Parts: sequence; structure tokens; C-alpha cells
Amino acid sequence: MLMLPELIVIAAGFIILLLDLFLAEEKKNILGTLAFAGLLIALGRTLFSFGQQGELFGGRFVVDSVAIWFKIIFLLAGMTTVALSWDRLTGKTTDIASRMKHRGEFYTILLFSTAGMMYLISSRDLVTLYISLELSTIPLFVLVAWDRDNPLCGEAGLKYVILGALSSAVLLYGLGILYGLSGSTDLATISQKITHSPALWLSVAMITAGIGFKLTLVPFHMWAADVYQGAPTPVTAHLSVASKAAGMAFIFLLFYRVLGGAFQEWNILFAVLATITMTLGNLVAIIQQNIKRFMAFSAISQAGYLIMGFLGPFPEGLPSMLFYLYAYIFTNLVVFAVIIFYANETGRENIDDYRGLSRTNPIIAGAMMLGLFSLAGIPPLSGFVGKFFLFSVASKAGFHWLVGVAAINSTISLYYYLRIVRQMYIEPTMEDATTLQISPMLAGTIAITTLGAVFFGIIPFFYETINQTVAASDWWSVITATAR
Amino acid sequence: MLFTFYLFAVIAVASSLGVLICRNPIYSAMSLVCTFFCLGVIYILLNEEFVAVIQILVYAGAILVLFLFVIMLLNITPDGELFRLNIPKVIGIGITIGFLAQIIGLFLSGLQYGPKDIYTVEKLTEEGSIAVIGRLLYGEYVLPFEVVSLLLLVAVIGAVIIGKRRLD
Amino acid sequence: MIPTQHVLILSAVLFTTGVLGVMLRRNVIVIFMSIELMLNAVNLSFVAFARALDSMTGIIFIFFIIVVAAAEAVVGLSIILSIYRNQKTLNVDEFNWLKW
Repeated sequence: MLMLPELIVIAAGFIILLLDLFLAEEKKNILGTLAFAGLLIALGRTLFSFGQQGELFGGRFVVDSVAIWFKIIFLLAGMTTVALSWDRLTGKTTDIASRMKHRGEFYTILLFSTAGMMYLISSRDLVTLYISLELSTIPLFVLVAWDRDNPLCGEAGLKYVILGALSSAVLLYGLGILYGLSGSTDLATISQKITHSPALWLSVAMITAGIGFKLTLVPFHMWAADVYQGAPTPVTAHLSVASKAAGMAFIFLLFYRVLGGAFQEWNILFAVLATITMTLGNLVAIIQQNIKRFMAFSAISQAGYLIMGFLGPFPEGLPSMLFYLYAYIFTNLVVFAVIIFYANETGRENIDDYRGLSRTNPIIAGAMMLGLFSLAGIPPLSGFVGKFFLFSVASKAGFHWLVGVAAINSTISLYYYLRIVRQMYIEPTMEDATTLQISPMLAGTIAITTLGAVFFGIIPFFYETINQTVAASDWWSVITATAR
Repeated sequence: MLFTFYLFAVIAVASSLGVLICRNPIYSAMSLVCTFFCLGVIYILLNEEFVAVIQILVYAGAILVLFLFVIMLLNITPDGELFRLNIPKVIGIGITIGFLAQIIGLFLSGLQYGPKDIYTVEKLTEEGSIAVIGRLLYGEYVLPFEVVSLLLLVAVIGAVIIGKRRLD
Repeated sequence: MIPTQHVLILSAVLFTTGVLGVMLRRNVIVIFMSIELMLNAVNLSFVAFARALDSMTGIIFIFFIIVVAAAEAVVGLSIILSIYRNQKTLNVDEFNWLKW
């Protein structure tokens, strides 16, 4: 029963794949409903399993509270992507070029990718870890290249698949060395058997490089802007949240469960990566014109903040990181929902095109503004609270200079997020602008994600819940048991 | 045996360089096949006959044939210009070669391997390595085995969706 | 008995050749071949480690890597097909709608 959420997601994928063959074109709306329902049921089952712990397949598949929190993120991201792609797949958009085809297969591949991410956080040996990482990545290659008539889309897919395969090969080489040094693929056994040697450093460097690609850490970020811009926008939204959360899950398993005991030695690596990632992401975001490229660099700098949660061997590190991940996915999805709404209706994707949105669609512009402010970290929105917890982890680990750099970076990011707000609120309205009709699906998504982005920050209950439930998992005792 | 290993190692490296420097993609593919065969021989020398067979069957027999099909289908002509070097690429080459030197130095200075497992060559010949692999694959590793089947399904669906010619 | 270190060095050399191929070559299909070469080098290192450790886990890992390599090749080649239909080129330097 522990694996029920994954099995529900996979079963929904197969049912959609089969039904797609028999349904007439006008009845295919039911496929989207099915995909959403499958994810929702799996989410309900996952929420219901809080407090349960257990393992299957001789400890190769483990469910604990950390895994459950990550699985909720993946399921929420999947559900939002189904909602965001609804209008494009059903052909209800005003802008014809942004419509997408083959919805049955789209949902199937999306669900399988989600299942891969869910297996990823539950796995406890390198084989399952690697396979589920690939099951979550290879479907994304396909989704990015989905619109085969659009040259931009194909090119984005090609870049993603080449650099993705390259990074997975580098990661694999690192895993191979880790296997050779420890003689096992079981994470717990590896953490007991490894001794500190230059070869271990080499293996960790290669694994970090491989996973840094998924997390868009500088200097492994170069694919992000192109892929985010070229991919269909709902897929971009999915990439920016689910793929990043999967990378965080992988790095959590590796650095906490395997190398946890030697945490002090990896600290500086993360501090340096965090510094260059957030700084470069922020500086390049300032000059972007296309809003999807802009969001790519924004996502890069957010990844820099996120890995600050890995700095200290403290019990607060993981809850802070999880909290920021939740704040980040809700906030980012608000912004992407508005971008998708605007592109669906007008086909425009440049920052300048948003001018005067506050006068034609004031509520949507308000939601976008809240989302951007939360990304920039303005109190009392959830982005601010999340950053506050992460900065306190960094300062507790002794990286006061990093907190200073991060604070400066937050200020820079406020400048470029305000650029969009200025276009929406201050610049004159475009000549042909009229009030745009929003579809119920997108309106609902914007409403729910905005509420999440606002209330996670205001209500302290949420962070407390994460903190308490995560403490029930054995992740912290693993670190203290192997500490040297 | 040692001589055979070094002979095939040299051929493998030479043919992998062939992939890198052949102008015509078909020649690159053929050099790659040669590398795969050399690796197959090395696997046999390491007493992993089953891996050698799978290596030849899947890599040379399936994946490389796929590459050749695509090359034929697209009617590709040899590249006019092999590389175009610019500063980032030169830096990249430098880093890669430096990394290689680092790795070789590490391996030569001696790795501290983990503890030994029970599957010695004698035990494998006695039990049959295929039997052991089958038992592990359907026993301990049945979860990744099932997950990987989903991966293949995704690859098939994706290839049909993206690669298919337009119907109209 | 073949020294494990020498097998590992061979795998490192092949891996580096693959990385150089991905970085330098301009033909997309050759880039994918280089990635296959890298995955083969990883397989070789897994076999070497498995022999040195008398362990079968590395061998099991190889079968999964082969499947993943096949899946990546299939997806990558189908993307190449669709791009070639649109643009009639396979030279990465000519794909400049997005900056590389």
C-alpha cells in the first residue's frame, strides 16, 4: 500500500493512453479530467499516509515524511501543469500558434515523468535512483520538443537532450566511482563504507556537475534560457518547478544520506555554487527582453538560494529548504499562469508587451505583481519568509558573507522584477489593448496559486508542520550516526 | 591475455578517436562499431561473457543500426569543416584534458576499493553468471526493472509523436 | 589477470574522447554517437569495478544503463528527424534561432 500513489499515477497514465485510441476527438476532454483526477487521488493518498513509515523491496523503496513532502510537490506541479496546458491542448486559445496537439500522449508522458520523480525520492539504492532520475528526465526531453512544427521548439528539445544526456553520463561516471569505492549501491551501506580520499572528491564533483545541470546551477546553467524560451510554456512552467524539485530530491539523498557524516567538508562547495549561481542569474536577468528567458534566469538565481538549505548540518536545513521549495513553486506558478494566459490570448511573450495590463485586466495584473514580489522576497509574502529561514541556516553555518551576498542579490532581483510591474502599472496601455477573457481553468489556477503564495508566508502553521513531520524521519539520525 | 587486452585497448582508443575526426558520419558510425567490438572482447577477457554478448547485440546490433538508419534517411553529406574552435571551446578542451590527467593520476596512485562481495569468477562459473544475473534482476532489482519498462514506453511514444511525418 | 587500474584508465580515455566529441563536433548525429561512447566508457568502468569487487551489482547496473542509452538515442534521433524536416541542416552552429 506504500506504493499506492505511484501506482495510481502510472495506472492513470495507462488508462489515458488506451482511452486515447478509442475516444472521438470531441470527447477527449475527459482525458485531461482523468489525468487531473489521477494526480488528485494520488495526492489525497499521499497526504493520508503522513505518519506512516515503511519500506518495500528489501529497503529499496522507502516512504518517510521527507519523501511524502517531496511527493506532494511533484503531484502539485503535475496537477498545475495539467491545468495550465488545458486551453492549449483543447484548442481554446485565441492565439492559434500556441495550441498543442496529441493530448492523450501529452498527459501520459507527463504522468510517467511525475511517477519517476516520486520513485526518485523514495529510492535507497543507486540503481533505482539513477533509473528514476532518467524516468523523470527523458519524458521532459519529449515534452520540450512537443510542437514539432515549431523550429524553436525542436531546437530547444535538441539542446536539452544533448546536454541532458551529457550530464547524465557525467553523473553516471561519478556514481560508478562511488560504487567502486564502497562496493555497494545501497545508500546506507555506501555511507558506512566510504573513506575520504581524492577519488571520493572526484566522484562527488562529477555527481554535483551532473545534478547541477538539472538544478541549473552556474556553470551548468547554459541550457536553461534556450530551453525555457523554446519549450511550450506549460512545459516551461513544469520544468521550472518539478525538474528543479527532483534535482533537490537527488542532491538531498546524496548529500544527506550518503555523505551526511562529512558535511563540513562539502559546505564550502555549496556556498561557492550558491554565490555564483544567484549572482550570475540575477545579473543576466536584468538585460532580458523575452519573459520566458527572463524567468529562466530568475529560476537560476532562485536555485542559488535553494541550495543554501544544504549548508549546515543542522536539523533546520531540510525544513527550510522544503519550505522555500513550496513557496517557490506556488509563486513561480502564479507568474507562469499569467504568462500562459497572456500568450494564449495575444501570442506575445516580451516584457514590453505587458504594458498597461493593470488597466485592461487589473486582477490578473495584481496576481502577477504579488507573484513577482514574492519571488523578490518582499514581506509578508511566502518568498520572504522562505528566504528568511534559508538565510538563518547560512548564518548559523558561519557563512555570514554569503548572507550578505544573498541580501544584495535580493535587492538586485527586486529591481528587475519591478521592471515588469512598471510595464503593467505605469507605462501607457498598448493601442489595441482590450480586456482579455480568461478561461475558468487558468483563472482557478491563478487564484489557488496566488492564495498559496500569500498565505504560506502569513500563517506560521505551515512551517511548523513541515518541521515537526520531517523530524519523524530518520534523515537526521543518519547524519549524526555517521558523523566523524 | 594481457597482450590481447592491450592490443584491443589500443584499437578501441584509436577507433574512438576515429569517431572524433571522421568527416563522414558513416565512417564515424563504423569506427564506433569497431570500438564496441573491442569493448566486447575486453569484457570477455574480464570473464563477463554475457555482458559482451549484450554489448554486441544491443549497442552494435540495435543502437548503431538506428544511427545508420537515420544517417541514410536524412541523406547526410560529409561535414565540410570538422571543428570550429573558439575561446570557450579551447578552454573546455583544456579543462577536459586536465580532468583526464587528474583521473589517470588517481587511478595509477591506487584506489581503495570497497569490501569484496561473494561473486568470484569460480562461483560464477559454477552457478552460471546468467542464472545469477536473472535471479538478481527479478529478485532484488525488480523495482528498477519495472521502472525501466516505463522509460522504454515513454521513449517509444515520444519517438512516434516527434519523429512521425505530418499526416496532412 | 588484467590490472583493474588499466581498465579504468582505458575507460577514462574513452570517456574523455566522448566529451571532446560532444564539445567539438558540429554534426548532431556525431554528437549523439559521442554520448553513446561516453556511456560505453562508463559501462567499462562498472565492469572493471564489478570484477575487482567480485560483485554482481555493477553488472546489473550495466543492463539498466544500456536501456537508458537506447531510450536517449531514440528520443534524440527522433528530435533530429523533426528538426531536419524543418530546417534541412544538422550543423549545430547553424541552429541560431536561440543562442547556443
